[in-house]
Amino acid sequence: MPRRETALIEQTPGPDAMSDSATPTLRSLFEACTDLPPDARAAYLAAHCADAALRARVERLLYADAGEALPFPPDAAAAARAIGVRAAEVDLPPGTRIGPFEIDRLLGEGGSSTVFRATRDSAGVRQQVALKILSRGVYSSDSQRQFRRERQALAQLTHPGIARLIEGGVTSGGVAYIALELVDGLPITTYARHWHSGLRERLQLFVQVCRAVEAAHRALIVHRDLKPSNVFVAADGSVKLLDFGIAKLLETQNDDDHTRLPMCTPAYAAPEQLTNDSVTTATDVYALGVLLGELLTGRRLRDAQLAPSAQILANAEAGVLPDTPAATRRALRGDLDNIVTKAIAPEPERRYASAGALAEDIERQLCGKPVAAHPPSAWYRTRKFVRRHRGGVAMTAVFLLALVGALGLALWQADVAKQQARNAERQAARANATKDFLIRVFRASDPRIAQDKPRGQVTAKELLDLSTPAIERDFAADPDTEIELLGVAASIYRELDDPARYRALHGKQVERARASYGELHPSIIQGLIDDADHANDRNDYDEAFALLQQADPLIRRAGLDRSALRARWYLARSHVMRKDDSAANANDDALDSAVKLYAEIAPQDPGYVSALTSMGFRTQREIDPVAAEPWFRRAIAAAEASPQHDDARLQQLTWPGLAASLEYQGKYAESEDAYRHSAELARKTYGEAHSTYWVPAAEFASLVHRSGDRARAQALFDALFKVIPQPWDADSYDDYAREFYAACLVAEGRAREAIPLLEASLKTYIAKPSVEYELRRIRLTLGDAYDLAGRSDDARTLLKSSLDERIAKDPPQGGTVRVARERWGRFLLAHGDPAGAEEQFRLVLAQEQGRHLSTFALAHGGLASVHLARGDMTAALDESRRAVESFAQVTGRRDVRSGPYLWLIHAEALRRSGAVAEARTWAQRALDASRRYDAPEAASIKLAQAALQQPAS
Amino acid sequence: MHSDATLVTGNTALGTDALFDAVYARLKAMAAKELNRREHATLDTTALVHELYLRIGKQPELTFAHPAQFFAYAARAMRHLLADRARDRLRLRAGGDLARITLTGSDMQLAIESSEQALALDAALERLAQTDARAAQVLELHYFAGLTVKQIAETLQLATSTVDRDWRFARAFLKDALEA
Repeated sequence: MPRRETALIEQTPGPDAMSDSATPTLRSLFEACTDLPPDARAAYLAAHCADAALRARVERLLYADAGEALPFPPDAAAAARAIGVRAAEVDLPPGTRIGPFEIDRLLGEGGSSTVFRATRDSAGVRQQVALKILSRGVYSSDSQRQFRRERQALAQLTHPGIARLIEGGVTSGGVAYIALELVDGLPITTYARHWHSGLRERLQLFVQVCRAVEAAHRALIVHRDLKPSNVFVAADGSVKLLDFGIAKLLETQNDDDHTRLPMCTPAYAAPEQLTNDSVTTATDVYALGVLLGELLTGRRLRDAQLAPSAQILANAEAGVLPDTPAATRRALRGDLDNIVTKAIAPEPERRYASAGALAEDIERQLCGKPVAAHPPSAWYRTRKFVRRHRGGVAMTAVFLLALVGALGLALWQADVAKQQARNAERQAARANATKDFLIRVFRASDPRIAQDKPRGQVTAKELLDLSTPAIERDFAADPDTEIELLGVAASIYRELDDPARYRALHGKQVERARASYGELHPSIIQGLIDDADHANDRNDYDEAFALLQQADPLIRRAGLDRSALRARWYLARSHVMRKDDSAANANDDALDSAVKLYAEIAPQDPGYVSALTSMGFRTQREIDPVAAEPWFRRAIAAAEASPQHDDARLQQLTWPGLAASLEYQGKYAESEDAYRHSAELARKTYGEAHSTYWVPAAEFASLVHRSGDRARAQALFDALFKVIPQPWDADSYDDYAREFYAACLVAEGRAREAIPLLEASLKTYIAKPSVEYELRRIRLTLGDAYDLAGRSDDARTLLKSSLDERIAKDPPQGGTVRVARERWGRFLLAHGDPAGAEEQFRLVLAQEQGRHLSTFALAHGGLASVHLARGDMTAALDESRRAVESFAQVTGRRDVRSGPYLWLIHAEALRRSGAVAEARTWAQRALDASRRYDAPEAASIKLAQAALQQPAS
Repeated sequence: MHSDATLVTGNTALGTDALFDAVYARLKAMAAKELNRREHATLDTTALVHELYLRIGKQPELTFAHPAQFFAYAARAMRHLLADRARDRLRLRAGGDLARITLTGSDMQLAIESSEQALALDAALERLAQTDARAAQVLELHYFAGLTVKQIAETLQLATSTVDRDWRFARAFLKDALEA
């Protein structure tokens, strides 16, 4: 029935007009009838309703009324359930294709979209993304266009702190998707809690967030949904904002007849966002304020009347607060309270005008810390520059940079002093003097000014010679700056290997400091610790210890016990290797203290990175390589967060440490990446011709070889040897490259070639101090090589002594003893002593504890061979099966070549147990693998071939 | 779907009302949160509406002259929500990839049927409102806001017997409309 007619019939002014039959309404008729018994209704209708259509209608209603059941769910809830939990069921199974991406797995679900990890293979490059799939379909061409427009705007937004929008699209089925940079990390609050981040670290992270937001605001993009789960911190401590502008993007997807849905999390939504949905940059600032509040107090603050510090709960969970509740309250009271309060002001106009303004205020907080939060030491920065260009080449610009850096420090201190300044004039004078000095230094290298020497030929040393007298002259009235600069100059001389000048300037520095401040000036103490570091490097541990003992009371008396200086002291102390009984514990305690103090006071100090790395190695050695991984990651994060973050020297140990930990856990691909990363880092910083590059490069190549790719490993080693000059610096400890290469040769069946290389390396090692660990390692490898090359007597000596040495010096539960023992067992077995071999293998396996380490698998294989020799097939098969199964699940350092070795043993056990066909399968598998892994003439290949030619026994 | 029907208690036209938008949005967000929390979440209409009332009550900028206004708004919002869902589901059916993969046959069937039904209900309710505005409102309050007869009576300042009659009529009307 056409609508209009229906309306006429059904129109009623009100239900109470159960009035006269002049105009009977549908309702009135209906109600009248329901009051009557069923059989009387027809008559009533006939009497009161002339319109046949209307009568029919009433009858239908009465019929409907009679039935019990409702043809629709009893309430809206039931109806919603029936329609389906979500408008779009996005439980997409792995493998589903959305656009050019393939789904890996579900990462998370939100109100309007679901996020998956997905990959795309394009031009051989595998790209991993976070794929956000919108629950609502995009169908009309208008909304598609709008979606595309917005997406393009967002794609322009590139900033290291913002997870990049990679691409987006709409499938033919109307499925809208957005591919974002995949960020591996934790929400910022979780990160801070997990790492028990201190106040400084939290503020520093927060500044990163603000800067990222600021960048987007400049591009006129508002986030609209800032909250901890959208602010991630990656393992390296870098902040990444997720979902930038996505909120807006998603909103545009609503078609015309849908009401707009503001995508906001109530706690983080600014008041104006909830009421009239007007979103501006101020909205983001509000959210930032709430985030800051949460980072500092553990609570989501809304009430701007109560100060944030007053809202801290005394029973806050560990890690939620930057410090103890009382200390946090103290730290926040005043400036930080005000900052938070301003950011979350209810009126947008009263908040910070921009995220940048907020960041600046926080940064002022960070800089305004007392000198106890020691700034990165200038001498350290200069040292880095100088080291790189040791050859004495005129590197004027570089040197100037270093000097400027140092002076920048002086100016920084001037700034800090400004805050405490009583005499503004003095500060101005200092600033002027500094500028003059700089100018003078620049002039020395300025080609426009006539000089004796042609331009560019002023060496660093000469420049220093020129500048140094000026320091004393220009800064006589400014002892602080003078002291600092003298220290810088002194350390540069030290780096340039001019000990005489170093001592002279250092002496002057100490003298000035004493004159102005007495014994307790930081630079004096700093000097002592520097010297202790150098003593450690030289292995002059007694000297180091003495110096540190000297510095200790000075630190205390100077009130610097809670400073980066003290942390440096701890770190230096932890490196002192004295032959004391209590030495080990003292070192451990010192390291613990160093880490703790750095974390609280100076997480940006390079010493923190060293401390964390040392901790990683200690954990790896004494506790558990798995537990070491977080330490290394933390060290890497600290290094990246530090202004000196491009100093690869810091990371030279860290990345390989991480790689080793990953390898231990069987994460071979990640381990390879870490090794590669460390090599790349070293190469970029030091260049290929520097020994600092060779070690990680060789480690990487070794790992590649251990994973079976001999061609690639060979190529890597070849490239490496091309850049290693022959003969190289005798001071360098880096015979690693040659040693590792030789070890690879041994593994792939070229023991004879390897022996001369190993012997040469051994000789080099012996000539140096403190290479005990290297000696132990290379002796085992050489013993292995001798054995494989048939030089049994030499092998016996070396292998046995290797084992004995390790038993004497290494941790009894550690892998190094087991490796040597297993190898010794294999030697005994091959040389007619199965009983002896069995003893060794059993000793190894006594530590198995259900682990699947390579050595254990090999030991099982060894036992299988022992049983085979004795003719006990059942036992042999049992052991060989265990060996093979264990190796299939191997973690930790392994060479894949152990696989075919074990498979052949297994094949033999099977064959002699009568399972000939199965035996052949294993032997074939071993042959195929060895052909891939080993040199063509390798014994492994011959053995496998022989196994395949065996007749049925 | 933006109806021109006026509320018994209010004068403003819905759909152009910022207040309504806010309520609807909030409700939608809450519902989404509820439903997304668990695989087979139950959507307790009453509880949601009551919770919404409590929450909104705390916001000074959102004021209702009378609780009736609130419930009316909430019910209408819930109704929109359901209709949205239904439309989405039906669109997905036409959409290809996603729907094909995600729902099994019988689930899909039920979902589709329920969606079509929900939309039909919505349309029928619209027609009822033109015939008998108050009966439509009673139904809306009961079905979408989960109010009992007594509560409706209180809210609309009617006798319970009136509400009962309204309900009966509305029910029959809708039944008839859907079975037609």
